[in-house]
Amino acid sequence: MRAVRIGAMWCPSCLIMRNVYDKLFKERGIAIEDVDIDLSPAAANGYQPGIILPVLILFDGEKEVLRIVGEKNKKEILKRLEGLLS
Amino acid sequence: MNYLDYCATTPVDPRVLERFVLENQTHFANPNSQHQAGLEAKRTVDAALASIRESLVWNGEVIPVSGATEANNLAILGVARANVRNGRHVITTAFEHSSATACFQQLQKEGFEVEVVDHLVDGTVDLESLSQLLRNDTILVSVVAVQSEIGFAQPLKRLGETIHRRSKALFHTDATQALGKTELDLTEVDLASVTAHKIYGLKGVGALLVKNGVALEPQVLGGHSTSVYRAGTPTEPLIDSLAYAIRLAVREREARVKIAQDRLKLLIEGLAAIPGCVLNRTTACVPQIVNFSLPPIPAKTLQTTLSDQGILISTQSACRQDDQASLAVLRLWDNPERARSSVRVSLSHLTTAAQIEDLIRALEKAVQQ
Repeated sequence: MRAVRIGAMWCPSCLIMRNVYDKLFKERGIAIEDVDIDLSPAAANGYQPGIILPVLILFDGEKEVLRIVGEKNKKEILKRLEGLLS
Repeated sequence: MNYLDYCATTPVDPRVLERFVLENQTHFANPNSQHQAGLEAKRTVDAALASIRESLVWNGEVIPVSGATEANNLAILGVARANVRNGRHVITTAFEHSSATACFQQLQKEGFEVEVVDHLVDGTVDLESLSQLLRNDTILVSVVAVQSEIGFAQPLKRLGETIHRRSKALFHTDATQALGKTELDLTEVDLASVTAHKIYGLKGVGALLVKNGVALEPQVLGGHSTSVYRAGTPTEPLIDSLAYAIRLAVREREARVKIAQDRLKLLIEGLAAIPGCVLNRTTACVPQIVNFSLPPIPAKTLQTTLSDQGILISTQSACRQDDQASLAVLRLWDNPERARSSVRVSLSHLTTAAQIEDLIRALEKAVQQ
């Protein structure tokens, strides 16, 4: 499993979610690759992030298995992750 | 042209421009030069800084910088990096200008713990939440004085009192949109960012106000200049023009605000009559900033439609990319459609009643199409 996090420097939701994702994924040994929508627009747009940031995409190999958009609390994220990381 | 985007930038006051041109002709020498002309330019810089202190009732240092973005960078990164031995905990809000949010994301990467304080329904900081977040190792709290998209004003004095009563943290405010629009009480503030181009001054100059005794790490290196905290040749004509623009903004504030209030009344009445129009406004908003949505019309579409008719408004903050929803509207009202169609009209004492009527007519037409 690997995770891609699309965000932007100016985005307050990205600021809020950074610690949540960092902690959750570190505990589960999953590396997060950060893609800044302004600094790397081509790479970011390749993931079709939409208009709400941040976007967290979980990949199993090359296959996207989960996409979480915007601000979510830890409980909600854990629920979405349930079954995928077991 | 019907310019209704005064929060993005303002036209230069002819009095400020005239003075700037004159200063360029008379005091062009480098204020760091030790000859007669340099010393005279230095005296003018010192007088301008004294004028800013007097206008803003500020006893500390005034550091001239290139604008509010640099001021925010110097305040947030400068305070955090210089005070790291006292702690790594910093607090901000979810409504800051991009230049502040970007600094806090940088601090996260450097290992600082960044927490975002809760807000009340009017957008102001929840003092109870702030009190709970403050700790012994909190070194900085940064809160924007007037939020740029929605326009709500923070109670700076009460915030500062809470911060100083419960912690040793320094209190920084980005006062960019507050200066000239509302009464700016900096008595409990330790650092404040201001810029000239939002108050009918020139682009390319601003200042960071810093209370005496605050530890700050310079972010632009090169040794002592106007201040030990910011290297670079002092831009005497710009600094002088900033001081003059601030003096005018403070001196003429009440008269300017009164005109903006009259225009606000007219605008609100006009918007209320447009079917489907939703005001994104709280009780804490200043009169010069009016945010509204016309769902399902996307903000960018409405902006372009109006722009084609010579009516200039903005989507979100001018410093952000266009194709995102307004995160501030989304946060306060939790409605993605409203956030996607959110636009901002910003008023001035220069705005006429005819310009408001022109805007309302164009909006009515846009809704019908």
